[in-house]
Amino acid sequence: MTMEPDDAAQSLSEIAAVERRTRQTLVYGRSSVFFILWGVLLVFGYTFGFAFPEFERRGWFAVFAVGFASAALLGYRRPRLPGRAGWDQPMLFGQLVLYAYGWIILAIVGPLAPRQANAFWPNVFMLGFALAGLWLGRFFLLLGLSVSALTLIGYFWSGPWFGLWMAVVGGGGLIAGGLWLRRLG
Amino acid sequence: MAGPNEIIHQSMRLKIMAALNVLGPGAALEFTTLRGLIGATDGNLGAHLDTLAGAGYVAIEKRFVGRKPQTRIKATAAGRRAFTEHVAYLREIIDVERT
Repeated sequence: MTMEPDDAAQSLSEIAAVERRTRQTLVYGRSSVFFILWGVLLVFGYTFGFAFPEFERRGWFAVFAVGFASAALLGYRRPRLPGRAGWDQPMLFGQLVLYAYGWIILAIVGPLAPRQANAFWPNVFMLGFALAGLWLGRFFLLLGLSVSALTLIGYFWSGPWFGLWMAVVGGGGLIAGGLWLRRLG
Repeated sequence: MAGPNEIIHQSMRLKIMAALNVLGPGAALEFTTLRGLIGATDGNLGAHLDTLAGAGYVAIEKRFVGRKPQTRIKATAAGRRAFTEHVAYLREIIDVERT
């Protein structure tokens, strides 16, 4: 049996498409646990800040500390993806870089009021998701833009319920996104 | 130039091997995930997997997760080798055409 060059090119194109879809599915599946982790932590952080505003700042430091420690543990305990060695490490370091840049921006623009901070930090991380989505899959882009849009809506129109709004939209959005990614991956 | 691999050459089986080859050695995909990736029906995928398993290119593992049956598929070393050789053959055809 022999093949024509056009058929060979068609086969290679099919292979490339399946490989791309498979890698994306693997990335979706592996990142789902990070989404769920941060979603749960955000629900806790916003609810805690809403209930105990005087301890909100300390609560957020605890949330970030637990989040980064857990993400590091998850990232290092899981086997690496072939052809994408250390995917979980860039994901972890990406989160740390976003966190660092958040503080750099705050050092320039000055301290924020609690309400502003509650809108600022989700947008920093959603910017990361949206940018990652340009390479890793549209789902990340959609999630980042959606949560940012809902954060802005809550910031301007949710009144005194902004903390709870963010618990549902920010934390709940990440949990829902993570569960959806788990289905895909 | 070596010939095409008669088993992997078929379009659906080629896609199956392409998806499994992306995974690391020993890693497996669930039946439903694989079905979604290559756009096959249950029956179609099952038949092609039987052919690939018969050739020793894939290993099929059936187990229960809780009460739910789960079928996991992975490429064997022979399957990866055969797929790599087939891809090399496809590239060779195109290269020969260009020269």
